[in-house]
Amino acid sequence: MKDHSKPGRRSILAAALARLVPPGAGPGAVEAGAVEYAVQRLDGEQPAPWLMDGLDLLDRLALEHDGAHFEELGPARQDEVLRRFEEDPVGTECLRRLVLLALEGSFCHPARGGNRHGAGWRFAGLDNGERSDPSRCRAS
Amino acid sequence: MPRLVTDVLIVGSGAGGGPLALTLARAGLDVVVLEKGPRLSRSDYRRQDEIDLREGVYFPRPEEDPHTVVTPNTKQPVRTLLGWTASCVGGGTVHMGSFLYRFHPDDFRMRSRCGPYEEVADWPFGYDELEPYYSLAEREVGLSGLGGASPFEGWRSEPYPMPPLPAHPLTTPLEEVCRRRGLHPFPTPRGINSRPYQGRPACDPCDFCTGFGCPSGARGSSQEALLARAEQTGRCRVVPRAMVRQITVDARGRATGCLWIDEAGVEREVHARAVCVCCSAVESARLLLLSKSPLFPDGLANDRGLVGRHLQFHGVTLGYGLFRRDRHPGLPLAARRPFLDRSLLDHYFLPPGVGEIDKGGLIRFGLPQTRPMAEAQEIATAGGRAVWGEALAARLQRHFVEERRIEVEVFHDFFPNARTFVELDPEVRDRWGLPVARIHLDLPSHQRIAGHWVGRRALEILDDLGADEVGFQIVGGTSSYLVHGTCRAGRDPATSVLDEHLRAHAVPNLFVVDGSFMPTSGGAAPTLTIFAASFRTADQVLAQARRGDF
Repeated sequence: MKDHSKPGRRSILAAALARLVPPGAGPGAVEAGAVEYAVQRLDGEQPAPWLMDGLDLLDRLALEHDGAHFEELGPARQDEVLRRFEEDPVGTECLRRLVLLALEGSFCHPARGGNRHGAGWRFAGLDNGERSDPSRCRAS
Repeated sequence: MPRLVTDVLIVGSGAGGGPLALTLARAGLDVVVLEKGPRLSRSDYRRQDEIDLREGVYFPRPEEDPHTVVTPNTKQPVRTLLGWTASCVGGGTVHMGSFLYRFHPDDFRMRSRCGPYEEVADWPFGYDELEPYYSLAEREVGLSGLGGASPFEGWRSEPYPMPPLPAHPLTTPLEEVCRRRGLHPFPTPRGINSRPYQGRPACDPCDFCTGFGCPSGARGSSQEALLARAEQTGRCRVVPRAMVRQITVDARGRATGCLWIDEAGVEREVHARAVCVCCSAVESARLLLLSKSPLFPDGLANDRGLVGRHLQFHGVTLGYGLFRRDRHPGLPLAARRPFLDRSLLDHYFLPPGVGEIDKGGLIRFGLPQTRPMAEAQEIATAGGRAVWGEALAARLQRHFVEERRIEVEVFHDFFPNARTFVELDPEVRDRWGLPVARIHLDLPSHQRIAGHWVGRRALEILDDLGADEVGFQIVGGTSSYLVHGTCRAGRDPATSVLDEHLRAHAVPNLFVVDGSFMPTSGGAAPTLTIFAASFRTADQVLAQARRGDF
């Protein structure tokens, strides 16, 4: 299997998601396990062009703007790069999809690998799905 | 698998098929139920997964098994899942919220009450004839509710089998503001056990309900409440992943069974003495239209060109009241359980002068359906460009933590009209190579008028409750999976496909038992009425079988 992830892409993705969906926007992409959830999309035969091209563009903007890779920058500078990223037509679409993906990974069913320990559901005021366990229902 | 020979063939396993299977198998007949979709189970439903829902776990795949739809505004038909109730054992009753109201007595006689309007017709039977079967259906499916709580409902021969579900604390202030306006709130009847019932547990509310399968079996469905018991008799075989492509007839014009395609793609046959088509209104009409023969060149029982006509969905109007928790310390807004289940029949009819016809709708108050992933994504992309970072955090905090919503759903009629019908699509085929159903859709103008008027009455109540904001999400919209009308029942074979027992006028051992028979859609959600009509037809099938008619 080809490794499309490139050493840099995983860390760019992780760093971007940490800024796009921080704690408070749900548990936060990192805290909810949404980063691992999203990284799965980099694996496999044909990771989507929007993701690969977008991450490459983000890193390019960081190098142009600050002379460093995106994941090496501090959070305030990362935000500035993201603001430039979303002014780009490729960037704005990639950013939108990354946010949707991170929220999916924050609130999905934990069996899918995100919403770690039900943190997303707890944030949303749900009961972590525990009551879905039929053994907790009165059966007689 | 050898050729199947049985007494009664039932095609489809939802609200129409379930009562037939249970009644007939219990009475000693041999029954085969062929269901196009898969058989899922409680262990599947335990995983209440929004992504499964988004990917249509209970529905067919639109690239494989679509409908197509064309409206006055569209030039080309488009592929759609409009009109699919479900594709799985149990049908739409597997994922429904189970809001199981009876119709009002005047729902059965809209033409007599309101005069001519579009293609409105009276039913060939009335509330009084159906009432014993409403009681039977409520007992067999397992309903919780409070009979006689609304002065507007029809008479009841029996109370509900179970008392109402425990009430959310918001119910008290909600009822109070309704009563101050002279209205009569009543507990929404649910097919959900408020105590252990027929071997199924009482509901211990989980956060997910409507839209998802029930992991405990506390919510009754055709599968849980009816088919399971039918199979226990040993005389009912349910075959999933079975695509029926044609109902077969003999040279005398009697139904003889069907041709179907199994999971492996092999063509099979069932031979039966009587056939019940229960695929829901769009698919039942489609199956009849596909079942051409020398005696019925335009489709089975379609000698008058009426199969597929009078298609109706249901009117749906959705609204909300938004409450900032810090502004309402006296309102018990925090809890998401148990259910907030109150309804109003007070506006089932409109005052004079509002619309061309005086039919209004049924108001249902409830808490929002649980879909945190979809809600978060909608908030993040509401403006077009994605919101992110601290701005996103502020919005999600406001939505999930600081605010609460009460939702309003208005059920109202979709009136049959000459511009809304089903035919076979001349181009698009399903994955078995068969023409799909093409829906022609046009909404009568009254739908928006009734939805808006009744919806505003509901929003006034939320205003009274102190909502910080009220609004509509949909006004006079069309339900996707409440479908009726395509094989209209009536006394006159010149203007109807089925008689009052849902038997085809033209084919004496063929029954169409789902929403297809309904001359009007009713203002309330129709599912209980389908269950009841099916139990009534089941008695007729049984009587005919015992008489030796087939």
